[in-house]
Amino acid sequence: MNIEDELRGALDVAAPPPTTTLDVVMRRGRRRVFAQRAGAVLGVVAVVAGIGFGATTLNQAAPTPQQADRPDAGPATVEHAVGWPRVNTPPQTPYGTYTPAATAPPPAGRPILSMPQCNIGDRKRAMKVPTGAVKPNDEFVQKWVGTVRQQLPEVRVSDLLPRLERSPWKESGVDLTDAGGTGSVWLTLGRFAGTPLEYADDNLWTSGDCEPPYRTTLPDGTIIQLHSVRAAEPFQTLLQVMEVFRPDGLLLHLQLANYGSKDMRPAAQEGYWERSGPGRANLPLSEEQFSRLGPAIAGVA
Amino acid sequence: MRRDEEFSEFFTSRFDWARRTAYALCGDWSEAEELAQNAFVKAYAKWPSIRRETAEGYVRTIVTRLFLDSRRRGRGREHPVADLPDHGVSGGFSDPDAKLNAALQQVGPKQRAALVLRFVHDLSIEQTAAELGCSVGNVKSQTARGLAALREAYGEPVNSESA
Repeated sequence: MNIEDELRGALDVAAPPPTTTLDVVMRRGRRRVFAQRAGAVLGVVAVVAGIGFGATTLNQAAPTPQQADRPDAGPATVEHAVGWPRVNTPPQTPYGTYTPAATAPPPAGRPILSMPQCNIGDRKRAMKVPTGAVKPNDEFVQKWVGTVRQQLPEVRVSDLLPRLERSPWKESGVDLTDAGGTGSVWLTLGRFAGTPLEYADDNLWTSGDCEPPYRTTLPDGTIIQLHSVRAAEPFQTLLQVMEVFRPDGLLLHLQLANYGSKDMRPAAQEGYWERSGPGRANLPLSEEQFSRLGPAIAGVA
Repeated sequence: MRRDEEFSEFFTSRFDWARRTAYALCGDWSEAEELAQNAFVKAYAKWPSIRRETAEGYVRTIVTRLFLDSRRRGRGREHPVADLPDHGVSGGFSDPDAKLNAALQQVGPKQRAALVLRFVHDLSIEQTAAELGCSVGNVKSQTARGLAALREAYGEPVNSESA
């Protein structure tokens, strides 16, 4: 029997009894329908109220509108602090709103974020070397850590976090700690075989953004792209990605996370981490702080 | 309510199928349960606009996309579970199912999704492309690479049909 035939029987395996009941699914489904309808009604009410308020306060500065795909907590909600424009392209239409999984909800007392979710786009251009497959040398990594410390004097930056020996991702990470707790930032590298603009455009939607990302171009042609905050499993994890596309074909991929090393442990599957703690309530850096790292690390040799 | 009756019938007949599809993708029963449950919750919310004859494909697409979403770059290092996964359900490596599943987990997520849709669900290349939201050419290449990776992980002599 060839392997294709064996695959055809892959659904006929011994399975534990399901624990999900129709009642649970329908209850969650009804909540979802209710939330969608309530969201739509509240949206209309907010628009009407906004128009009324704006009409009666023409001479006052209007408050900065809050963007829907930003968590309503802490520095990550600081809007338009990044001096970079968004890419001029239509936004994606959300397919739904983030709902934490029942098996790993955020800790008690942490509000559930209502963040729209959009499709994660496919890359049309293949990477010359996939992101995470390029292993930086020690000098490069130490320069990166030094750059993070230099750019973020107000944040406590840990030493390089230990790597899992058999991990397929060659990533480097440091904890970032302030009064709000500990998060982390992770660097992975890839190589592309085209212009920075071609690959930046190709990556517009690969982080699941609904709004187009912020983008800036450095004098040497390096393009830096800052994506929106996304909620993910487990524990309502918050993630934000920044990509630096250098003219020499090197991609530096930075991921900011609301969890630190104390919230992770080696998984049963060798080479992988699994989450053991929920992390902090918000990201450890504001968009302005995170955006400082892009231009600074672009020049790291 | 007609909606709930129809959905109830659909859930009863297809939940285990969706859970097994998710297991083929993620290789973990607790995560598979979660993926299937989330897919059915989304399907319930959209039920009035889903045609009964396409509901199965709709749920399969959601399961596949939720799985790929959870494995997208940078998040692959995380296992979306609160507790250690419950391994050992299918036995050890002497069990052919466990061996195939273990080999499947060595294949990249997108390639794995292409293999599951193409061979486990016997979808055409065009149908697979539609479910994954990518081009036909992309499905062909993902399938070919996935099969090669699967054979290597499975550790058995190459014996191919086609991509």
